[in-house]
Amino acid sequence: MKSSGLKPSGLAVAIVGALTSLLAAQAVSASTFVYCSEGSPRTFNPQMGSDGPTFNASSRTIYNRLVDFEKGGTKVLPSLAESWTTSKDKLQITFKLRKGVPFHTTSFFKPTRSFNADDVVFTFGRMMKKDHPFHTVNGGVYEYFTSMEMDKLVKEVKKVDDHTVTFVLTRPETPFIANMAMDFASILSAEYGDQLQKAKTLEKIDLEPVGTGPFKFVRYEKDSQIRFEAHEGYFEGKPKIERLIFAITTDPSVRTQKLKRGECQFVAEPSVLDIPSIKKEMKLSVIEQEGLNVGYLALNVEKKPLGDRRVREAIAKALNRKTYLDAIYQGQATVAVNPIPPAMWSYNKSIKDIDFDIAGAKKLLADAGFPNGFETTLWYMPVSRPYNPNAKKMAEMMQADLATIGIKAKLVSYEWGTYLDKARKGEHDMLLIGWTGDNGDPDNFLGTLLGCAAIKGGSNYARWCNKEFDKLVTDARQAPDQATRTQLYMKAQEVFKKELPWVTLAHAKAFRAMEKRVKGYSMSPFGTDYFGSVVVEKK
Amino acid sequence: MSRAFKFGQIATTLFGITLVAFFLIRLVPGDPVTLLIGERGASPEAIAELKARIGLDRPLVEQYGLFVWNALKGDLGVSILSGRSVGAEFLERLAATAELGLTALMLATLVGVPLGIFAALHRGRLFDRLSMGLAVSFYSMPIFWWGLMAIVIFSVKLAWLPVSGRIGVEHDVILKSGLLLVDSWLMPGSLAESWAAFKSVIHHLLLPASVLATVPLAVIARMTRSSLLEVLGEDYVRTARAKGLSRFRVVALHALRNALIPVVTVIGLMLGTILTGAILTETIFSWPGLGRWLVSAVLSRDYPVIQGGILMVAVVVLTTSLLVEIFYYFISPRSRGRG
Repeated sequence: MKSSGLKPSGLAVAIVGALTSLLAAQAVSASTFVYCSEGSPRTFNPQMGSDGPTFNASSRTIYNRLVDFEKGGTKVLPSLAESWTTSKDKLQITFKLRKGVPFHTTSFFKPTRSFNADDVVFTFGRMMKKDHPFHTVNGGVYEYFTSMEMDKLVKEVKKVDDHTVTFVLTRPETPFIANMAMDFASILSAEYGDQLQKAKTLEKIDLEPVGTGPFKFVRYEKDSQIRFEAHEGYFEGKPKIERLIFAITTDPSVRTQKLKRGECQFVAEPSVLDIPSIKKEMKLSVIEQEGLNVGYLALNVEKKPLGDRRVREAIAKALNRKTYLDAIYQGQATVAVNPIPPAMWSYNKSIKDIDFDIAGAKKLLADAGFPNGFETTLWYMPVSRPYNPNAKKMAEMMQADLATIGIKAKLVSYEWGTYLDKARKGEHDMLLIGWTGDNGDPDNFLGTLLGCAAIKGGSNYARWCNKEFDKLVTDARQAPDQATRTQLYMKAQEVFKKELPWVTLAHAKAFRAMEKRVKGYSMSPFGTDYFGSVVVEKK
Repeated sequence: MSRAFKFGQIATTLFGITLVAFFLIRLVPGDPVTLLIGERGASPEAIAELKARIGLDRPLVEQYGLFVWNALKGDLGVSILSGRSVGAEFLERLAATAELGLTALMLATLVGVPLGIFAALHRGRLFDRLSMGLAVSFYSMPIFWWGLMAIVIFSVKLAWLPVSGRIGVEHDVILKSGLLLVDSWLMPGSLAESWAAFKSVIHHLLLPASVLATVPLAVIARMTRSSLLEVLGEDYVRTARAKGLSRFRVVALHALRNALIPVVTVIGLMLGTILTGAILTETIFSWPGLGRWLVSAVLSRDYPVIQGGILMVAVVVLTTSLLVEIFYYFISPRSRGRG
């Protein structure tokens, strides 16, 4: 047998030899910036998405809006519109548009004019008008716009002259301006639309996008990479990054390995577990920010005995929320006191949190007529969400806490879609759920999640309709100045804390990891990434 | 089996697959619209409008009929999420998976067959036990674990190979055939640049292909071993040996030829295993292939992609097994007689 010549060890040597001969790839040049992103965008049209990967690849890169959020904040600043005025009846908002803003010149489109009012009318027409040539193109599902009921709020978008546009609303609504900074309000090019109509290739509007933003679209390979290049005519100045590449890497620990290996300079949402090891590396850094989110336990007030305020307070007192932070969020969160996060304007600092107090909870339950507790259900999400990474574990901890005051909570869960569907119909007793803000406006939490109208819409999971609270929030929605609105929202938070439709649980932090030589990045509370201002220092 | 019967069989299988692909995913709770909207909630009217827009308001039987009718015409519909044609998306993904899968299958064969032969010839000795033990561990360890271990050892610790992706981002290769091993030579630029890009593609292929090759390698090695052992016990081998032929000639010329026939069949049938293994491997190594495409479609309940994708995968698997059968017909005289 030994005559056959080939020995197994020889084979192993050959394989190892082949591996070692193939050494590392060459270094990437300094003006190229590789971003390890967490997923593929659904489309390059932010009107048709509601997820981070879509926004990062489209609205935050290719497009601008009439107004934009300040970098790293929630304040609304002029962008493609230089200024705006509101009519006396608060139903007409008129934007003065910036002049001389160029659209991208690419291999597939050469603009002959700069941005003007036609582009605004075209953009909103696509989402609102059923007879718009692009309305049904590429599926035409504008779920964000529709679910925020923008189609019901905006009656008409009128071109006044080339650089003036008026939005006619059906009711006064101050947060409307903040909505115009949201991703779905990104401005498309009407001239590009015309070109595509002539060529009868309408679908390209979302596949080969054209905008006014800091980066031009070059190429996309689905689930693999997206390539952009700097827009030389960007109205805020040409970006320092020449080539921007999104390397789509869905697994968070693989993203971390790629960063350590130098295959990317910046990582979206590293796994919390990897953060200590990233911090140990000299050339890397981690930044964190309290997200614009809240995780909470909604107490369905339509169900007995949760309709009784004393019972709700007893539940809040019985839950030892501080212990959840370490177990569920690895300590990367803060205990929530109010329904809105502390970073948001009008946050009421003077409100005192409910203390963990078993004796107090028992007394409240006895007062309410349940000295021996009661049976109920506790629903937990089957999926990990930014505001609550492990709802099942949290539900188990809550179940144990509630048992100490005699409340026997049965744990219930469904597949995510079914869970949402049943919760929207109010089938639950106690429900773990949460929220990530859309536009940085307190109304987007207090009105959207706790207003009386939101019961029908399905996002008021406590199904709590309090006249006093609802009036404060409705008044605030229509009040024109921020000082008045702040006062109303502060008061609304007091009513909330007195009535306790939710047990507020946590505000989770968000993370980004990058090479230390990446400068000029500021983390957005909305969780999106903007690279227009980033500089990569030479090694 | 007559040819007509064979094609009838394939058509029936495909019809069954349309039924399963269509109805199974609809039995799973959740629908694309609810998942798109998430916690936000929306009024029942808004939800109904969105559902109508993608045709989910029609009766199930009508939806199914439309799916089959359009599929017969070659139209698999459009993805709810991306709005793009399912057929076009499938073809893009097929190339990436084929490049990975065929490389893995080649690796598995090149390593698995010799390993099996050696094990059979050293039957019961240390090498046999070691290699078959290794095969069992290849077979039973989860691919996810292999993948992450391979990345940590070969990419991060030893810095030999890239962590994930199909090609280094510095190479600006435009997809034409979809196979980067080919496209790297079609890119504009010098031959040196093409060579560098090609090398980068090989670098990126090695880890995921090795990881994906683990299960088929184990099966091929064990199959080769047992088949060769069986053949070595046959009379004609004993005759050959009695004639005084060298051990090498007996094994290489007489035994192997026959022992490898079932191995070839197994290799052909491994294609299905490769496709399922690719689902996990592609996720770990950020490989833009069919596996990831289908998984993300299932998670978001993108019905047209799921039903169309599964149908197309079935077509590919059936076509390959047909090709294997034809190939088998040529290499194995015995199978011809049964025609």
